[in-house]
Amino acid sequence: MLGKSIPRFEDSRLLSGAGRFVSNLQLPNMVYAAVLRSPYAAARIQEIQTAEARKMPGVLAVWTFSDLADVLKSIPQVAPHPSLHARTPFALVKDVVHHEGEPVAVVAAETRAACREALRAIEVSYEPLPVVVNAEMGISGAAKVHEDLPDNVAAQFGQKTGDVAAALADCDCVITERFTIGRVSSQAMETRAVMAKFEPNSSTARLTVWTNTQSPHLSRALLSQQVGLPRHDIRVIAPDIGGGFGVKNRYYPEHTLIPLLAMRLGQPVKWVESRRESFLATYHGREQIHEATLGLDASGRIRAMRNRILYDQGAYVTLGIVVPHITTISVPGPYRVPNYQVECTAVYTHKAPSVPYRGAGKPQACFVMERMLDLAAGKLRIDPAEIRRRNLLQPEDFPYDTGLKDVDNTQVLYDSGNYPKCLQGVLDLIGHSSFDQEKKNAAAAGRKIGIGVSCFIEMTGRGPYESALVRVDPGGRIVLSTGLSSQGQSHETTLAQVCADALEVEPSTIHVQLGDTSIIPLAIGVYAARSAVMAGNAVAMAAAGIREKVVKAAAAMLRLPPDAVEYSGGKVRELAEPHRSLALGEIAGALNSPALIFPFPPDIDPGLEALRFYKSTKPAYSNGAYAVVVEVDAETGYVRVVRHALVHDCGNLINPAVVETQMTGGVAQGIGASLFEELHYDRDGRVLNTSLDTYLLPRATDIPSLRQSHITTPSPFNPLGVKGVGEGGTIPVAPALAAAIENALGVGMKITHVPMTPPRVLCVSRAADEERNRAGDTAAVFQEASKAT
Amino acid sequence: MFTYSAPTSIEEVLDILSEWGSRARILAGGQTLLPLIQNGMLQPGHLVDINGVGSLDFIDSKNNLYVGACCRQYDLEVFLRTSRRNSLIAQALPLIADQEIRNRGTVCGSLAAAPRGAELPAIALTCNANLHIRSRRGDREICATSFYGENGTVAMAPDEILTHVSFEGDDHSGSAIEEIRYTQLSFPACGAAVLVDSENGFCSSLRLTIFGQGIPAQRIDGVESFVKGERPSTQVVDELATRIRKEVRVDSAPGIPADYARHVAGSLGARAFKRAVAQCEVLASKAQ
Amino acid sequence: MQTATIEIELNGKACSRGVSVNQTLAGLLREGFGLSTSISCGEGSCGTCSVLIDGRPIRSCLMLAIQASGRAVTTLEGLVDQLPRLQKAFSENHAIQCGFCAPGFIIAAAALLRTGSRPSEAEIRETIKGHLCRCSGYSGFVKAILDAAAQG
Repeated sequence: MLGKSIPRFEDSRLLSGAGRFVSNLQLPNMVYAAVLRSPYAAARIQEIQTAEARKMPGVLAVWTFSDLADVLKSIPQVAPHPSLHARTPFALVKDVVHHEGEPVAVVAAETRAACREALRAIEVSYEPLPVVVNAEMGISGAAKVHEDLPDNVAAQFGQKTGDVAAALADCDCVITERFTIGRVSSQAMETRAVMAKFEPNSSTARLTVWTNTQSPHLSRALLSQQVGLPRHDIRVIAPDIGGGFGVKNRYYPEHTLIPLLAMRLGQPVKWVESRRESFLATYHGREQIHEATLGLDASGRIRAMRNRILYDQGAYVTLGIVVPHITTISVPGPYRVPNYQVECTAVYTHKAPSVPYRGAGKPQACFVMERMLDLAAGKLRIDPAEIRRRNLLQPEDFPYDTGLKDVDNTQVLYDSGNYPKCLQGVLDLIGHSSFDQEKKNAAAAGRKIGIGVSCFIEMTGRGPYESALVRVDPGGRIVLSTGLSSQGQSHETTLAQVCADALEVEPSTIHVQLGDTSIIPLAIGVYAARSAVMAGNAVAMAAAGIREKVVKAAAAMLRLPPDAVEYSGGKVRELAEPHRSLALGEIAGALNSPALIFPFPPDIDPGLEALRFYKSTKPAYSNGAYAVVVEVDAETGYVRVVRHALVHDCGNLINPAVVETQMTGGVAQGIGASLFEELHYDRDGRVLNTSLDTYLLPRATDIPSLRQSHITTPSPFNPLGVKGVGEGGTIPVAPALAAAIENALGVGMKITHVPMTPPRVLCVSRAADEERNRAGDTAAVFQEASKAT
Repeated sequence: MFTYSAPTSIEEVLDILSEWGSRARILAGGQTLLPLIQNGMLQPGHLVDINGVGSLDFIDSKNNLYVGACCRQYDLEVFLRTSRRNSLIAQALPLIADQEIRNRGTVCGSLAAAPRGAELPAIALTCNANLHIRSRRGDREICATSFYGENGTVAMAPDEILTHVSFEGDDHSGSAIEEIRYTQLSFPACGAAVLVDSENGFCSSLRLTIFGQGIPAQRIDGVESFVKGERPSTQVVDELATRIRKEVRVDSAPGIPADYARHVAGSLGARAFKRAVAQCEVLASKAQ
Repeated sequence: MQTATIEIELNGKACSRGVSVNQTLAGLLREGFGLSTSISCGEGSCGTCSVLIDGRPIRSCLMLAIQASGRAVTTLEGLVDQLPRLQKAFSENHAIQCGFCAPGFIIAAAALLRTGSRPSEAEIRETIKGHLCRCSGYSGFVKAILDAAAQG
């Protein structure tokens, strides 16, 4: 069952239009909610007039902070760190607005139209305050985001290995460059939504919340603190989710507001975020500034790297220093960097919080390292692929201790990989060796094409644990429950495959349940490409638990010692007489009705189920190489992706088609963030592009099919030998595109900003022309001069 | 919460518009209007749905090309596939958004709303299209070059309706439209539309329009007069680009700096000009 | 609030319904009829809400419910002949992931293949460029539609 590209079980409902998205759910007596958001990025609220809104027909509630002052506590951030000066929001602004779009009031009404009318009738007087619009402004001391902090530093941290200063002093080539990565919005196709129902007389959970959260149990924990109900009194259901990408793993103000409305109004309440709202109200990703110094010897081998990072935190912290910390430890990537020093300052700004968004700090790190290698390659006149070859870790280096510490102080230890093989594989797939001729042919036809390549690693499978519960019912139906939710990763299929493989049955006989705190008591959730490693191994353990129990139980039923039977193909058979066997369902039936069917010995409990926790603090590292050919219109800066290829290693594959589609989707988001996507702000910290017409997502005509192949180096760090794949595609795209664009324009390393939109590419193109003209002029001057002598 | 009516005659439409004035909006294709209502930018009091006015749904190409207010963009696109007479419009239509939008969006709707970056207003300007406008106060005809103001404003009063637009055939002219879009579905960051006539290798007339997300659609008069009587040599083309850049009025838009748009306007104008001239020469040689 | 009664042919069945004149067709299909039509942007930029009107694919969020009166409206549920073949092709090619955009893509594919055409990859991409997918990178849809066309 493992390694097979079986079609997905979730497709039957999703391709029938029967997806269970929160926005499709309805409850009897349900009312709607809408949020009034601050149009200012920084402002003090002087007064809010809600009297008119409250009087309007169909309006059931109009709340500001003062209406909830008795219950509202600031939303906890869930990743403490000693260097952190954390500031977190309240579900409604208390008195000072810290970013555009912050919730200032919430209304509930019988119809959505009535909600909209009520919002329009609320009058808020704001006193605008000075705006800190970016990280550089934040550390310059111009204005403060949080008055009670001495400055705008949210955290400062770093680490080092070896002695960078000494190593740099000894290098043949030392280069320094500054890089900027823009701010992006995840823009999943389904916007955020929350629906809540409070049943005061329920004997199980009184509060039920349906929401498209990636981690129902984590959401429940925070919800418990926010609304003042114990966890067992809350049920969080995350049904089908239309894309998450990390950003739906956060706890948002609406997660507090909507349940409170349901509790106080006594009616179910539903809120669905509008697309325009999502640009302001769903948190952002990526924005960083790097100053990197790389020292190499004459043969292009890295001796030292130093990196200073400014991370634009936004107005609040939601997940500690996790994202920028990941960047700090990811910069060395797949390369040997014997001396490394990194310092990072996370800076508060008057923008929406920056949170993990697919890649979670790794795309920025890869961009910086790969660009520095391209810069070095140019200076040292080494082919870009070759300089990578010379620095890649080799297969015999594993497990490789980078000497770095993860945010929880565990070692950053790479488990396995064959990095050079991936690089060579992608060069072959893209047609690297024949590209020179291809380029010449294109030039003859007046077209400028170029090639770029990048290498990357992806930390996956973060712990600390994940759970799985497998139950077999008397009919033989197997139910697998986990605390995961699904945003398109095909968990219902891949986990069924893992379970089926362990139980030696058909995957279609396994019913996978996800996304509901009531089906499994303890779980973590979905993020950071952890599901295959953590949940996959938990499922394997639970299935093994089932096997262990059925062997014991079947032996008892067959009146044999346990070593006289064996499990295979969903049955337990007598070794000596294989026709004597019992199927899983029969054994489950007996275990479910003990004494009625069979008197089991006292050491065998009723029922056939196994709840297991897979615990691990050792992430598994996927890796790969990406190559791209582009065509550049030198007069407009327009970049067309001609073809691209990816060779990827995620250890043992559960479902190759799922892996490939995850990589393709990740690469598509990588292309979006590299060529098209950027949130633009005015000087007052307001987003200028809050629609899909102005915040551009890539289309089917922008991304050709991705050529892919796999390499498999299983992870020695988990029993299944699997590694995650969720984020990988986003990581290597930007630097490879930058290199390809420069290659097409015939220039050295010039692109230091992501995204590389046509205006920026045109700048590079024109700078290249000027350089050539000057070189031409210089050559002409020399010619004239030499003629004269 | 707008009210709604669906008249079946143009007279009824005029009455309703006269009654409601600026609080009414005409609903034809809705592809520009409904997004504005959805995102709260427009809150009309009343929508007049003209899709039931049969007399407004026509394409007539007996002499000039007449396109009625209810004609869908895709229907005109299909109609023009077999026509040689309106090649610039035929080139522009498939560039608009995607076919699902063009299945509903109307030609006249786009002309009247003129969102920044839309192709059809630029085409109308290039073709010197005539817009036929009616209201209870009277009927008038206005050339696109007067209809579109400097900042992309549209010379139409709230009680007026654009009933149809007419284009002369451009079958003798070379035509081209060039655009740069970031993704393949965005409004163009910059575009150039060109109609050119030449005699014996000399340009006898040029009509050139620049448009884009941050660029109000505008004819570049200085360039048009400069090129008259010139051979389209490399120097002339380069000078054309330079003059476009000097003359074009540009605002910036998110992600599209004004100086980028200005520079590219020149490049695209030159490119469109060269392509249109080449087409002209092909047409001329065919005619011989 | 102004209302009207509309008569539409919905997925082959004649239906009569009272609507508010402010309601979009997308809203009517979702809330009035509980159908698969989903809304992602509500402004016509993403294609998630697309349905067929008299066989032509359009954005149902950019049409008022009242404007559908007298027309034949087809959602995914109404693509009875084409749906099994499309579902099979989409599933075999792992075309979808989260599935939120799926109904719109299925409608676009159905409209494209309705004419019995054998579109090229470029034509397919051009047809679906109005449909946004954030999960898949689109190539699964392209392969699926090529497969479905070949089987037609």
